[in-house]
Amino acid sequence: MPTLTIDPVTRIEGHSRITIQLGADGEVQDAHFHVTQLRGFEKFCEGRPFEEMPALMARICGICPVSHLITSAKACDAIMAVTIPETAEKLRRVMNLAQIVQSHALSVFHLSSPDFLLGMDADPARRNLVGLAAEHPNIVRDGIRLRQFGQQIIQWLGGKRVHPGWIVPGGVSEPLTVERRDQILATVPEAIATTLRSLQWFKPRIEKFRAEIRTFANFPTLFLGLAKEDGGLALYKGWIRVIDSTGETVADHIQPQAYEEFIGEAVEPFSYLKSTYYKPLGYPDGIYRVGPLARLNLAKRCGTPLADAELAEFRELERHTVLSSFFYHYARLIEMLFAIERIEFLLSDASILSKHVRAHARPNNPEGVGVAEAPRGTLFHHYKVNEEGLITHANLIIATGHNSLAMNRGVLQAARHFVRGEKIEEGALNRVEAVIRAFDPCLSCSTHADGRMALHVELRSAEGHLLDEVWSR
Amino acid sequence: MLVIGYGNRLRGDDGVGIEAAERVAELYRDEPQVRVLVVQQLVPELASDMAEADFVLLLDAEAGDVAGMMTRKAISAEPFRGSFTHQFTPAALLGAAAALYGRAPAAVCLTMSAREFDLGEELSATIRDRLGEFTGAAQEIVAGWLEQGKKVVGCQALDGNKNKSRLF
Repeated sequence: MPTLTIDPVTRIEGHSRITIQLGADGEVQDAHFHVTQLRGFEKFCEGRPFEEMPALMARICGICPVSHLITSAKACDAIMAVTIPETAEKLRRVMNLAQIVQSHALSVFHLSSPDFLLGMDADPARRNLVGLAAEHPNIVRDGIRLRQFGQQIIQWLGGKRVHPGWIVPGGVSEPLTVERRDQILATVPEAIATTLRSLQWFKPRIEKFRAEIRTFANFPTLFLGLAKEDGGLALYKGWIRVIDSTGETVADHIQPQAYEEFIGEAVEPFSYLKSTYYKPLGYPDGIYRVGPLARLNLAKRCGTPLADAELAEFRELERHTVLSSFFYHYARLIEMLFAIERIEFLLSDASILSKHVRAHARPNNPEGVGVAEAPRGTLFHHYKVNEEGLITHANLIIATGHNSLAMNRGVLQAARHFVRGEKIEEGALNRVEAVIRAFDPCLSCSTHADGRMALHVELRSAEGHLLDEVWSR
Repeated sequence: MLVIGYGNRLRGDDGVGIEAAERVAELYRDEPQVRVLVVQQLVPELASDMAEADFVLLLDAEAGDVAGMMTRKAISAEPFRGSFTHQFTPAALLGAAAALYGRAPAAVCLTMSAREFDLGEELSATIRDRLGEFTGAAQEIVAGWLEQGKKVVGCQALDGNKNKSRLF
């Protein structure tokens, strides 16, 4: 049975490959997304004091360290059994929102906009950011400005653009000064204008991608994410809600601490990336999606005026929930707009300057679970500690793991539509990769676990016959 | 002028550019003409920062057989090739500055060769011993630019050969 391999998958965060298996009739029979890198964070943090976890866990990723910082700090808050000061929570929210802006800008502009603006079939030598700069320099500059907007806020608050250490168990380490607040607020109008301008070039182009919309992981799944009472977009705090593809609520008001009751983790032999599933439906029927598309499907409204207007237009794409993963990109742009508006709202509240930004306590609970919405989706950190507060167990569930089943099924769907014969044409190759790119997976984050992958080694003859195979568990 | 120190501080000697840049920042903290950035890698956004500067000094570690050798190289803008867009070379970043913002400043890359890039925050003994000298060389370039402008330290190749490096 011939196998087509795409290695490496380009313009994503990390290293992976895709294999496509053809049947005897030459039609695509199966496809897999393989994540081939291995980290080990859950294991090597054992024995460390829990207070160190936010700084340690932030090192998982150079793109979204703030998400790990926040979620880890929330797990530590739970271990300390403290309610952090209101201002500390608002400040954490501001940094989380800045993180959403800079990460989404990276995905939309740097990684995927060459496909939107130069075309899926464009020459790969120029279908990249630099090629884009030659034809659409204004758009590239806008992407750079939005990245800078988010990164600058992170640096102003946390001292560094990457791996800031300001978010700590119990709150944040330093209050916000008037000067810093005013600096950030001064950058908001340009960021809003830039994002609105970006939506204006993106939306008219949607029509050109009908085939991609139809085949880029466009199928019914559940959607999972944080939710809150008023139906607004929840990114920092809330409970877990699960809806089906018609928008009906499947489960609601699930406390994050109970995540193990409804999320299962499966290990596949072809990838270091664990695949999660909704336990009541089992594996693999419990397929669900998280991230920007899921969040907009879950929310009744964003909660800011400009983003709500865009969300209303987004809702007109489909009758119930928006199912095509191509629209993750569109959802990212709307979330960026929301994040910028929300930053302005939070910083305009006088209480943001309060000096009470940290609660102090010893460990009072033997375990803690933190959850927040990272740019790519719902992020869980679960720690257990001994009486000295040293970590005895850590479990992380990352957005890319939540989306693993959908990504694999999406690759198969796109391959069946675009791949013909035993050779992958350039346009088909790019489209199969673009399915993965739509999810914006972060493979550094998703392979944080220790080596529990059941490695399957095959020995094949030159003719492709299987001679031997070894399973290492 | 803009000073960019880059590298991974968690990979031993790869952090030498960052260490030197932080020392330069301290030396020139009251000098408004000198802006120092410390970054892990050269990302596309830096093109915007570069385009705003008259002169850019990049400080980096370079893998080599002999540790502790300094190299100073003038950088010219060149087009970026390939599809990976997280990490640019200094020349490609200058090229991006020219393409996007219409100007690429004169630039010099000052590197120190190193061999120890294992996990760890510590610089090796050899590099630690040479850090003062490395910072001094960076300071000399900064001071030269401040005193005499880009005629002295600009994009002119050392040893008369464009882009040819030389050992100090």
